[in-house]
Amino acid sequence: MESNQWSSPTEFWDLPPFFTIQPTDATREKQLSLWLQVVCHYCRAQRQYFIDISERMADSAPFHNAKAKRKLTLDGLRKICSYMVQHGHGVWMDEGQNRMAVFWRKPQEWAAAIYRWASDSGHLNSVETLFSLREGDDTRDQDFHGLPHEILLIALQALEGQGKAQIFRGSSSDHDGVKFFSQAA
Amino acid sequence: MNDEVATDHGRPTPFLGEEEVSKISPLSWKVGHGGDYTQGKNGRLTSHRLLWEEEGSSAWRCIRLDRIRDTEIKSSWFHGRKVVLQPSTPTDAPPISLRTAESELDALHSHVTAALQQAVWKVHGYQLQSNVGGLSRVLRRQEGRMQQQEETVREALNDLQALRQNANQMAEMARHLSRSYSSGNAAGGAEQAEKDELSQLMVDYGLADATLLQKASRSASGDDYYQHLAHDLGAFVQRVLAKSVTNSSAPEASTTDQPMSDAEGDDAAVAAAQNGGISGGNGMLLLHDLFCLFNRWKGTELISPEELLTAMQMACDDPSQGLRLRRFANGRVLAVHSADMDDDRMAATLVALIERTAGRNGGMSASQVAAALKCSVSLALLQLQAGEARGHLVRDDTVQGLYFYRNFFFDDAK
Repeated sequence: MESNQWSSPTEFWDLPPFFTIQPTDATREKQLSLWLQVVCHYCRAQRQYFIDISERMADSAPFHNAKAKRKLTLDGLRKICSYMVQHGHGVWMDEGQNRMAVFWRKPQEWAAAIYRWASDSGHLNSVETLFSLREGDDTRDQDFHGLPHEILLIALQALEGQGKAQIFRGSSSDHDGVKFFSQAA
Repeated sequence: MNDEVATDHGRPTPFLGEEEVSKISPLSWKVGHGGDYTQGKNGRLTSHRLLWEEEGSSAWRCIRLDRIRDTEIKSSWFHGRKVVLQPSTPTDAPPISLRTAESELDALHSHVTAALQQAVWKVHGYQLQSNVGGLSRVLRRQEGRMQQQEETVREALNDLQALRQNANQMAEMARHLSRSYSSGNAAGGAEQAEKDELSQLMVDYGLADATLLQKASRSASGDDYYQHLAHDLGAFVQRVLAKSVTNSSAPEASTTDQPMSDAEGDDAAVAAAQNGGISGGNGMLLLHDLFCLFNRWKGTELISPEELLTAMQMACDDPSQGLRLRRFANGRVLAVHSADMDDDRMAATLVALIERTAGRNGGMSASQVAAALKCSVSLALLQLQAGEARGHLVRDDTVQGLYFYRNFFFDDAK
């Protein structure tokens, strides 16, 4: 099991109360911040980008701890996701808020990494497809390689907001393109 | 002279008011001076007649006593003694001779004589108790008895009603007197002495007791009664809380080992109450537990919940008592605790208890805590929740139950 290879960044993950969302405000705030760390740590280790509010999700790591015999309720899972969205570590993918994209790196961090790669590898002022950024050989050794389209788009939009790139909409998501500007421009 | 007897299922049907006097066995009889005796069986004498069953025919025959004028014992040379009955009409009617065992003869004679004198048949005459036999007779008797009982009960209730009315009037009078007694406290010395004498008389004659007077004068004479009660309650709570603190801080010291040097009856009662299961847990006592404990300790002259609440509020307003009332978060539960106890101290005790019992990263349920503190589960739960609200405890809500743990979430910040 994947959860066997992963070890939690906090020892609290093994304590039963960690799996009950605490009613006292200050304690709950602290607990949710610890959960945020745990989820980001797990998703980074597993290269997981989405969390569904579902029993299947709640039954698997990191929301289920077989050793402590505890698992989160769906309500608890939703509270953690809401907290992550609130703190910029996730975004709801649907109106019903049943699927969340996890930002184990915040979009600004992804944007910075992508721009650094573009400028380091001489891709400034030329157009790249989003597909080549995600799947291309040039980015194979990059952290953002394999990033889902939705998250990549959000990162590039952040870059666009800084005036460092421009996104071109293609006929399909694979044909979307981006042009990186040199910082002087 | 002797008649056929009406029977019911082979037994003679009794006359109204007829009672059996004696059995005569054996029995033989004859009418007139000559002739032989005829044998009879199952002979018996009743208040109304002499009757027997004829040998061989199983028919019942009888001689009605109202037709007998006289009876005597005669003896003859050849046949020994016999009882002779002399019919009243006609005057020349032949006498009837009866024989039985020699030893029974005198008894038979005296019974017949007595029956003739009593003449019970004169009351109802010779009226058959037709179709009143067996079960229906029993039922009728019972009905009669019940009517009689009802009558008795009604009379008794009437008496009671009268007594109550009198008691009401007496209580009203006692109240009135004590009111005027207390309202006139400022009156002159002579009048005062008179009133003291009056109240003393009332107590002496059982028209009032001291507490009743106090209670009755409560509204008029201010808070005297409540001040007393507040004082008593305060002292009681102090004792219970003191016990509970020694219990929880030194659980290994059994109370029975301690010499009961200060053991007045009060302390024994407190200890007994605690052994019964309730006590002040963690230096705190729920008011509804206190209500039970205090009334159990008093035994008589119990107080009402309202009295408890008023007196407890007075006790807690008095700084010398060193007690505080505490309303728990849900707003409906009141508890009393010593003034030096606060939520943080209480929570610290709970954390220490949990760590001692379940380990540093272990949890306890409210009922486990209640057992350890010897207090009610509701008090334990309220304290745990208060400790949680202050950030000292965290919960583990599972299908098995609700467990409380030390709040470890801030461990890394320390």
